[in-house]
Amino acid sequence: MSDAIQFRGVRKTYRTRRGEIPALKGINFSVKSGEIFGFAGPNGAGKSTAIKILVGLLMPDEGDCSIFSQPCGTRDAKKMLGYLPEVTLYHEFMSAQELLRVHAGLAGFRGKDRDERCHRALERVGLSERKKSRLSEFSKGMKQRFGIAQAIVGEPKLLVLDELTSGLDPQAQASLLELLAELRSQGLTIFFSSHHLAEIEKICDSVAIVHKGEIKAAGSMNEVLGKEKKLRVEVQVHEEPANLDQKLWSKGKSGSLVAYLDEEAAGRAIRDLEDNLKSVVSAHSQRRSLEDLFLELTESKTRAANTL
Amino acid sequence: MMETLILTHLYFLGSVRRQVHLATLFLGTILFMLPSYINAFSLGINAFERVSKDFGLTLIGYFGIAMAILLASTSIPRDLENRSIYPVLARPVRRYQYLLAHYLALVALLACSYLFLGLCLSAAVSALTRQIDLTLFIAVFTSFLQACVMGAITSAVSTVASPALAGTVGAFVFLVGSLPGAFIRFFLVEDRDNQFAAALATGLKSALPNLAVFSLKDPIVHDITFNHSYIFALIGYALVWVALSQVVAGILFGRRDL
Repeated sequence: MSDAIQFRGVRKTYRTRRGEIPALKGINFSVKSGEIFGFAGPNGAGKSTAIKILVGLLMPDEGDCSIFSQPCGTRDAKKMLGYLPEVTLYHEFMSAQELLRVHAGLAGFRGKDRDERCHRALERVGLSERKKSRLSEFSKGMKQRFGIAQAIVGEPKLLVLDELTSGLDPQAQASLLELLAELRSQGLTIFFSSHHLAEIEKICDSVAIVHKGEIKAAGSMNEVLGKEKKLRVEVQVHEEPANLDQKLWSKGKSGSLVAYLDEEAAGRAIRDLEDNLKSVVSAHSQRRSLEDLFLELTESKTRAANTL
Repeated sequence: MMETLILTHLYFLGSVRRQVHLATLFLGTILFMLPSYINAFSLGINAFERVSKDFGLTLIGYFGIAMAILLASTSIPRDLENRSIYPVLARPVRRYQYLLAHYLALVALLACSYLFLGLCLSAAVSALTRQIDLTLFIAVFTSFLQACVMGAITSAVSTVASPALAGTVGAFVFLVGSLPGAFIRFFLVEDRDNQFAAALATGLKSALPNLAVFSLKDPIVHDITFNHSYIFALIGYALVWVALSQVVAGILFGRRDL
């Protein structure tokens, strides 16, 4: 498969009155054509900056990025792109159909062809019956659906979705994820940023984890999480040992420690905790979850910094 | 070009649905009623006509400038604030096209307002004088050109400044630009002998557009003849300032991180 997106050494620093804030520190990754790519990272990690560079709203200080070999921000790259920003207040005085016509027009479609594409896009997101309703009358879930319709109306090859499901109820989240899977089956490449790691793990073929402007892990789910199942050990400790192996243990939910280990290594690691061990919460064989990897890559660094 | 027109339509519709035109309708009603009240002073038909025209054209002029500054200073920052600019600029649309579309929508709105207000004033005056005076529309048109220049400058500033700052700069440009040369000569040089203030005012006035040239109210109200080619010169002068403002806005906005 060819690359739909390539980031090569992209660096971006914001210059403010308080000084320079490095947002991206030379990131490299690529997204293959036809896959759903998850882009995960905590708040302020640089996700939105990377996405804005991708869609041409920001210029990188160094490095370059491309969409199907066209430099990001150029007209040729934008013609292949559909974009749904994180939080957008659309022109709410307009009806769904009216605003969609505007976007189809901007994508270069005219006349009957434009109207047909608008109708098709609204049908694909399940809003064809509300096409004459004003956007101000839409619920948040419906607005996100409209956002997808607006992004796909130009029939792009690449869909960039920033925090698509944030703030939605589980039902609306599930139906949007179904929609993404359906779009992927029609050959679209989807670049998808989210805080919901479980949904990234569920629907994405590949993932990149960004933290403090650096890519901490990137690749297919198997490459990033490992193919084989390991023993997932979760323990509660009285007090975190000073000599805790930070590479082995990561912080789980409610203050527990989590590690993915071979059976032999598991026994040794638990014994090393010595008197600090309060209880073994669970020990079962499973593939490392994206959430655990995410916490390992982001939390441990924060913890190490806090202990210094 | 098509993209620019599509966006112009969108932003024009946005202003109309935000009910900006209600203010125009309100002023139109005032202009329509105004001559009736002026007539109550028994000034005589000539004085009545002049006072009505003078009052009406002054109101239209200030209203147009206020409208141009207000709309131009808020429309782009509002798009940035509610992020509705993002999906637009992610399309194959160049940033200068986006700016031009905003400006053209403003010009279209101003044109509709000026035409409506001009019609109201003309109808009200001719209802009482029993004569239709088309020269009123020349003054309304030059006042419209002035508002277009002010809109272009304020819009350019708003690409890098907050609405409040852009509005303030717009108002400042209007005040300095409309400052009569006589004010500098008599009040700052001859009366107060303040050479520094005079030099500063002259310098600022030369760097900014001379907005006083757009006022054709006096010749129209007092029937003073003027060369009609002056209007073409004014159109050219306005176009130069609009083009200059758009180029500056394009350069500033083209480099801006969104």
